[in-house]
Amino acid sequence: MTIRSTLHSLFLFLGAALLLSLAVHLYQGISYYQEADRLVQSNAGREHLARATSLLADERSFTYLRLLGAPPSTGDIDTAVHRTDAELAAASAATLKLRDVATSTLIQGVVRALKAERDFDDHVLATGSRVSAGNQAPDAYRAYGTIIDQITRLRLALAVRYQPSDPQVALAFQSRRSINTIIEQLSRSRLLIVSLMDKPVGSSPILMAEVTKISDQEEFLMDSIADQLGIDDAAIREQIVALTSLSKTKLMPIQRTLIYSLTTGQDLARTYATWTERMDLVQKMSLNLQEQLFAYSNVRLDQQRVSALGTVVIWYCLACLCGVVYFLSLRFVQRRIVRPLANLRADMLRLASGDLEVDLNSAKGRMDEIGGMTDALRVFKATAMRRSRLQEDRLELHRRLKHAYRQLKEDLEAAAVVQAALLPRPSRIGDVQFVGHHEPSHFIAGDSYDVLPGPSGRVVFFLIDVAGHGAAAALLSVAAHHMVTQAIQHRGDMEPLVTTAEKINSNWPAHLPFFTMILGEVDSRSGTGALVQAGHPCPVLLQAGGAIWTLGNGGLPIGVLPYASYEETPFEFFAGDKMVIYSDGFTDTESDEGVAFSEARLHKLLNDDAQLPTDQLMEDVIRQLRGWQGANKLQDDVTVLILEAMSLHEDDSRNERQRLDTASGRASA
Amino acid sequence: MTAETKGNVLILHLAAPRLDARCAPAFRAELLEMIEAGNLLIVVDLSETTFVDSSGLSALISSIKKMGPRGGLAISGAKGSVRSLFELTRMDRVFPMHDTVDAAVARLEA
Repeated sequence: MTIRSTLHSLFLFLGAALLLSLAVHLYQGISYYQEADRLVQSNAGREHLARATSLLADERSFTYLRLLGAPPSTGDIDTAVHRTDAELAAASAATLKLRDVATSTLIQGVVRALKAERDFDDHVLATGSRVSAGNQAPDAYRAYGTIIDQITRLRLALAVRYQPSDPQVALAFQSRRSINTIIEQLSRSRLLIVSLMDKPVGSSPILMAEVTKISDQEEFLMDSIADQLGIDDAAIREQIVALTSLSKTKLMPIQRTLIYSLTTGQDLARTYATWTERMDLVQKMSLNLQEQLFAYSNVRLDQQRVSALGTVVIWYCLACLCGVVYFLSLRFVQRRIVRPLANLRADMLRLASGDLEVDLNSAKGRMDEIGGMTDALRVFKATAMRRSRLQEDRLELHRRLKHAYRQLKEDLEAAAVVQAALLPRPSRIGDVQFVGHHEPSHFIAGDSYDVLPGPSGRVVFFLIDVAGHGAAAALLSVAAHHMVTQAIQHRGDMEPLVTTAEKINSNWPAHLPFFTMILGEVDSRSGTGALVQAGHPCPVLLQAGGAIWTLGNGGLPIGVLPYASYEETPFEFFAGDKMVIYSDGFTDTESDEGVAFSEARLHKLLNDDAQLPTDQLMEDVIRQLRGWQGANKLQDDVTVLILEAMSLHEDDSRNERQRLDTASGRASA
Repeated sequence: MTAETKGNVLILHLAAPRLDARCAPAFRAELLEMIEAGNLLIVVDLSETTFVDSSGLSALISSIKKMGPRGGLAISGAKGSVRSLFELTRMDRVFPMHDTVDAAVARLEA
């Protein structure tokens, strides 16, 4: 998982958690606001229904009294009717706002029932006699009572359905229910007492019982409302206290006296007047208390609704703010972390692939970790560029070295061709046949040899080995070859071989390395020969009869001491005799085990192959050396020169040698 | 190669078994450096050496040429093929050959 996806996932998770939390709180705030709004609407509906109840109680009184024959007061009843209808319509509208269609329908039913009752009462009053109207009065009273009860049940239903969570509001609602009931009871008791005043004393025992019962209920209700002083509004509490006090101390006593007077007829008029005055006061206070409770409830519910709305607004603003902060943070992280990291990664990949043109200025000036990483990458780029330049320089140097090596190799190969051209091909000079093998250890050799015709039919030969090997030794070898050849060619007929060797030695520049040399000459016609050994390995003489001789007693190499003297070694060289001259590179060649071929092994090999023709002898000698050498490279140049005396009169030569052997004997060389 | 001094004589013990073209240039350079440093009496101990070729001889000859008539270079401990090479090339007449270092030192100091 990349840092980019990790950051995106983290932000997505945090954003989702934050959004969910805010959504929950916002939903709760909206729910709280909707509940508060429903409570306001419900309270409004109940308030209208309560007022309608009070007005209906008044209307009931007017209607009842009109049916009993009281003088009509059209203005008051019309006003009450209109107000009642208006309150019921407002209650219906409030319930519709609550989407409480059932309650609204019930209210409409109440309105229709009320209108039917009114129409029926008006019809009775308009068409019926006084007696029939009087008979209708109790029915109308009960009908209105029924309607008032229906409205009260609707109010209670709304109260049960939309209960407030605020205990103070709940207490106010309860107080409202109590005061409404008190108002209703006061209205009923007043109506019954007023109707009893028009009847003869003691003529209506049922109404008297009803009045007594309602009066008792009024006392009970006054006691119950006195228990609801927990409401936190001082004016309402004072109003409750005043109402209950007035009721208990003023109204209830006089009402009990009036009920008694209605039974006995004593002091009825004065008592009724006092009761009417106090009842008016109590009813007025009750209505005032009801309005205060309405106002208190509305204020509290409005406060709750405003508070809920404020909560919703706060959470909404907070959600918007969090959203803005979230997206700004996301953009910040995207621009300051994610995108620079992605750019760094892309730059790293380009650098890793060798693209040094990558631009690393995207995070220039940043002092944070991204800036540090970019600086490190910049150093890496500089190092990579330096490394690239070094690599290019190295490749260029390698190309030059390769070119120089190829040039040197070509030069060395050309030099080897030239050097090989200086060497004589297998040939025959007079009666002397020779074959040579020349093998540089590295292209060109410090060894060289030649076979030349000498004075008086003699054949002169030499083999030289410059100290060291390689190009320098090869150049010296060529120089030495030239010097020796010149010395031989300018040699006088009678000049001893030793003199020639000493001339070569004295003419060789003292500051140049020395070289070893075998310089010799043979006269196959006379079967004689001589050689000078200058630090070179001893040549081997293979006589046709099978004897093997090593020739020479050593001598200083050429160039060690400018005035060195040399010895001449004479030998016999008859037809069939072979002379093998070799450089020390042959006997010093090592096997895989590091053992040198050695002179002893060479002598044995020559002894075994002594009867082979010259060319086959050379092939076998080289083959044996190859076998001995194995996989080893030559450490030194290898040169072998084989001379063989040839004669058309081989028998004469052999006889001559036997003659000489017999005469003088042969000493070991 | 290790070096020690006895009196005026510098003794060089050649630890390598071979004194051939591979190590002769370095041996030659070291010898010449010591001669240039003023060591004109030198004994080369070849008791540990089993093979010497013309390159090795060349290094010794370069040294004796560098010393000139005032110096002396002796060989000690040469045996087998090494001694044979010195005899073959007559170098035994150029470089005094001794069986021991002490004998060579005594000869040079004499």
